[in-house]
Amino acid sequence: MEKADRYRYRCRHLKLIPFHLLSQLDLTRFWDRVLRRAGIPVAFSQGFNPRPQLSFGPATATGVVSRAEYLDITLREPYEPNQLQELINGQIPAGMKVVQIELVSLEAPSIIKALRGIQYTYVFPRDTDLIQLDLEDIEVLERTLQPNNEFMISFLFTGKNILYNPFKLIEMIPTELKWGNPLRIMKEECIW
Amino acid sequence: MYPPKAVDDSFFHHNILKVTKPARYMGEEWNVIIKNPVRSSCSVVLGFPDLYEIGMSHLGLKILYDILNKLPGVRAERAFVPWPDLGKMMKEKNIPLYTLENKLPVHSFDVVGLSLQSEMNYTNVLYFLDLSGIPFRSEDRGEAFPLILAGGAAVYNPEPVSPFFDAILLGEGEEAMVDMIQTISAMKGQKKSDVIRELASIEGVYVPSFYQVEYFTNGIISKIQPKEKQAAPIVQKRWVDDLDRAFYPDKIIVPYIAIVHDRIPLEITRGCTRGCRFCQAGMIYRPHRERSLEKIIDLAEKLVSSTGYEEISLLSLSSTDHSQIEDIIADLSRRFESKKVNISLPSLRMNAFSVKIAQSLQRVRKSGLTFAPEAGTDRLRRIINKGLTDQEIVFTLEQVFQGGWDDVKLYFMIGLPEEKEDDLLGIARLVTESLKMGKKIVGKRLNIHLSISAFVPKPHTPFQWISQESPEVLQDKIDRLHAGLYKERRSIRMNWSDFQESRLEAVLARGDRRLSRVIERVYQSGQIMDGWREFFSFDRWKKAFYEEGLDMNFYSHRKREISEILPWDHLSSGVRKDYLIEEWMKSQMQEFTPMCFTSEQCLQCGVC
Repeated sequence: MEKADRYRYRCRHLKLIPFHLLSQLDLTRFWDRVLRRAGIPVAFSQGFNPRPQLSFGPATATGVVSRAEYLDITLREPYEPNQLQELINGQIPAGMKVVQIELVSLEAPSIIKALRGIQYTYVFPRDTDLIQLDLEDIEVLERTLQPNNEFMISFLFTGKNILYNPFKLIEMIPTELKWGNPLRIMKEECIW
Repeated sequence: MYPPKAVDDSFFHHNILKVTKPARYMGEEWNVIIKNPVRSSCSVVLGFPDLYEIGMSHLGLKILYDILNKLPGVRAERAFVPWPDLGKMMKEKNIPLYTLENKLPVHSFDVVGLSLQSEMNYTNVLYFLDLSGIPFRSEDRGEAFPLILAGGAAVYNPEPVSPFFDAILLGEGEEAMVDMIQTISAMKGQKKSDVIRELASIEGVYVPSFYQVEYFTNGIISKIQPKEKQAAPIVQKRWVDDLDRAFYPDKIIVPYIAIVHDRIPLEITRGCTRGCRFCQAGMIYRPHRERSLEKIIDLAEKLVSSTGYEEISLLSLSSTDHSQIEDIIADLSRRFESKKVNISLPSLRMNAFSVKIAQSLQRVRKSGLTFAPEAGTDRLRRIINKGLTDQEIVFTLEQVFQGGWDDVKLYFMIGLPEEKEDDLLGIARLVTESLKMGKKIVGKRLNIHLSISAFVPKPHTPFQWISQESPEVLQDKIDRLHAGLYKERRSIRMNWSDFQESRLEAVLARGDRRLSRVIERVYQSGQIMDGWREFFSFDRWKKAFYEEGLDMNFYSHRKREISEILPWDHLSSGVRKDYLIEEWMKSQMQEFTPMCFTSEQCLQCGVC
């Protein structure tokens, strides 16, 4: 690794139940404390009130379970990604576990700029009458009926206007289809 | 057989998303202790009759949580009351109040210990019990329900809520709570009345049902008498004599949501003997004890690495009274500089030393400084034994402004005993003079924030006998103070307490057992969360008093005779009643009482 004074790592982590209740502000505090507990030398912003250099992806709506949360952490010292992942995972609950870390260049575009789409899975209480849904910027990827009769549908969202708020889809489903409210919404993948 | 969890995943996917700040109710914080319910021989709920954000900010809860969970076989879990939106939903859906650790119903535990920190939480005590499905009165609870205990600052007069508790601990819990839980654990399976009897023989434990209270026809108490041989005529508070040997947690729970005191609380001293005559904390937490520099540093290191918190607050009633405060701050600031951990102090005395200390704290510089002159003239400050002169106040503020601060918060009280027009105007004079002086130093941006509260006479203080001023008189004083400061209005922010709330606080603080009926009645009429302005309803309280045939004025606006039996006379903070009487007399002579560890001789207050 060449010598620099800043090292940027992109982390993918989980946000499983009940951590789906945490807001973006909660996460900012959370990561600051996790990194201090782990003794990781995070880079701080300059100025009167130094803040740790953390850069988040688009805020996931409160209440959505996620397997694809992203954040960039900038450090003052280099780490092997695996070693860093282990250090962090020693200081966070399993439901927030980091599943992937990679070193990215300081010049690389931010998470928000690089993101092109998000795949969400909705779980509905019963088999739903899925006639053709024609929704702009939303593609149906997969439909499965679970053995317990729960119905899972996977959507790929690409339109910027709905990308971050999967609850908007519920409002877009015509009421005569009687899908009911989803039991769960999961953020599965980010498409770059 | 263990009861099923009170809530399952579907609750967290659905119902809870409909309420405000659902993360209050999730648990699973860092450093949480979750024990297997099947393997514990004694299960305890540490309950707090207020929101998560308030309860989690309380140091006592953190200490007891760790102590109890370290006892073999003991499992301690937390429960807080929900915001009314969730409370309503829980009642509709029959979801019982549950603990954050194992999500088990509160009523399934062996013991519930409630922390009583304020009179304004009394309706929430019933809210807590109601949501748990537990009958309110000790006498109405059979063997099936947990033992309900209380502790905390408000229990030095617990009488208005005493019928709701099986036993109450007076004083510090580090040792006494262990005694209580071990006794309960050892007697598991035995009759509740036998367990309570055994608890009553532990020093510091008060069992309200073991005392008979009788009244004269005018409502004044004629007799408080023990009914059982285990009941001491006067229950003495418990306290630990050596803070270095007293238990202190080196791991504390780190919440996800922002709580009121969202930082490491590091208690450096306990007790204060400055002797301000209005101050209940200054009487009930005696004597003054210090934690050593070495112990403080050791705890700070451990707490920072176990929590990752970005701030340490050095707790005490008067921080600059620690004999090594400068060394503590210098060491901690240096030690945690690279980790960006700030050191803060909750309050400062008004003197040059404090300003010097504040200058060594980066954090305080940013957030502005807070001082409490309390009263507007030297005369009134002598009456309350504040030990501070106008000259010292102005001199301190001059140094503050010269140090570069341009935002200062000052606490004053109105309605203090013997307060005259000149004392009220004295506040305006002091503030005006300080602004004039300050503007020469820092310019027009100077801002003084005035926080005015109504004096509430508290039990176990030298002012416990006096009458509180009425909300109308207090409001009039605020109006006059406003008028006196009209010219300076651009440089002043002023806020004051709700005087009806202060009146209720005064009623409940010095109330007797008969008020338990009023509290039940006001709760039944829908009153909860009295500490929150959006929920406080004085009208509901007035109605409940009326319906119970009791008069608020009897409790708040009545001067008691020295000879009168006070509702808390059988409970002792260690400070002698005679000492309080002497202090009251000295206050009328404007006589100063020094701090005991700087004066030549012991003041004989009685606690040591």
